[in-house]
Amino acid sequence: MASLDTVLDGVVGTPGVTAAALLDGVTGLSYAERGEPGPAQDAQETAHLVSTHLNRAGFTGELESIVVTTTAHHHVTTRVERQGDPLLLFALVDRHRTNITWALRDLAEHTGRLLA
Amino acid sequence: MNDPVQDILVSLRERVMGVSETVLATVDGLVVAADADKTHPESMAALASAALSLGNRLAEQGGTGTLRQLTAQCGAGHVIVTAVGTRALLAVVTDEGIDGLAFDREIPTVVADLKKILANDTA
Amino acid sequence: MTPDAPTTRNVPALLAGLHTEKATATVLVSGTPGGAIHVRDGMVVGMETPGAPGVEVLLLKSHRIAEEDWTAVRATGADPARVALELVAGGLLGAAELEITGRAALFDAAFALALTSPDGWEVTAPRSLLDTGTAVSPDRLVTENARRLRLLANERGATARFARDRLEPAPEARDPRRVARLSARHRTVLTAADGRRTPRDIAFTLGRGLFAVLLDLRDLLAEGFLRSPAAAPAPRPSTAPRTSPAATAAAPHPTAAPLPRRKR
Repeated sequence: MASLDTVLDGVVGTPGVTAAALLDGVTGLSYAERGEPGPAQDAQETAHLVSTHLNRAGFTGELESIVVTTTAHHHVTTRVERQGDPLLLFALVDRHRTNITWALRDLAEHTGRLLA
Repeated sequence: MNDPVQDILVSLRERVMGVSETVLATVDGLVVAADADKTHPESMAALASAALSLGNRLAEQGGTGTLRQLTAQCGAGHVIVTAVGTRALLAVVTDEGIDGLAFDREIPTVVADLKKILANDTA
Repeated sequence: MTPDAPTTRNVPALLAGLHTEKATATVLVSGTPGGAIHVRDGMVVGMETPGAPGVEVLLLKSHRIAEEDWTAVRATGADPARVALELVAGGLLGAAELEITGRAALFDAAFALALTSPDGWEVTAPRSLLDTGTAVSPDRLVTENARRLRLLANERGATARFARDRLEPAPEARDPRRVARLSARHRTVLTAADGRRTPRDIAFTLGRGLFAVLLDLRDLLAEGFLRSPAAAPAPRPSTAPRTSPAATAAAPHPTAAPLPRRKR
């Protein structure tokens, strides 16, 4: 069974992912980190901001993911559902090593198994 | 004009974390005052009075002196019954996070203050 | 008990000292609320306080673990400190999940304790606590608390007052269409905010963290679903006089029956 320090092993093993973090989806508390996921600190606040605005606009579902693209990276934040408050998986993806479609697909495979 | 008894009950809830509801009752189970929302004061008063009687008999049977307090320790909190003088009792419902130290510290003063007010009551 | 070192000026400084010494001890903090801070080899491995739900409440109230399963493990006579680890061994809980819950509870307790100044503290021999595999350095607790204050209000006093506010539903909360658009989580918090419960009470009721609940309450306040009771003072229902009938059928607070006669 995965323990907290190995829980991100699979994620950082994914082609193109250079750093990752597992965050609390409500408080933003970081539970695990690999590499230098600096931008992860803002990931939860960004997700919250986006959710709030979507909700005001009438959107009623849960936010599933946010991708922020810079020159060199995709900052991918994915919701990890579980019993209780949700988690967020943040991954820093190198655009020179993979494209966003592959990255999202690979990451989706991992989020399901994260806490198994 | 606020009822001083009610003020004491509300003040206990405000000062001690984990206190949810309180009922002040006569020893025979009639409600005198209550700061309650989710429990039914009349039922709580009747049950607390019965519990206190049983508690007294347990103490007598056990030879352990005068009963001070009866506590039902439950999965999601406690119900604590304390005698208030010889003619009344206080039932306090708490959640799991009750600040036990603060409760133990505050309850003697609460009981003493209530006793004083109730003593002035009798005809 | 530990010999008196030069007295430290506050709990964070004390913990930093214990970290340097790689000490193993329990720090008992007295205050409103107080709490117990467990230190092993200089690392903080757990905290308990009436101000925030602990691991057991988080696991049970959220129904992640059934009360029967918890009771069953306790009944085996295993060391109470190992109950959660036994649940993991029995496949009822993931090791990573337990550690996440333990970490969340630890930071939450640290946050609750940091909202008020303690009356005093005492370093004692280590006491038993529920093992979750968590270990955090004291300075990590300090930086996280600073981040949390920044997220909420930037100012400890205002946050402390907010944490004691018994928020109640505002008119917006009666609009079913608007309420239906809230997330399930926000709706649950809204239901729990009944004007009687403090954020800490709501956290215990829902089996969620104090800080998480404060954030959700702030959202609900901002969207107009909740208001502070000071904003809408309701006259306290009278509990006096004996002569008036209980004209309080509609009152949300129960009134006292007229004080019974003592003479039999």
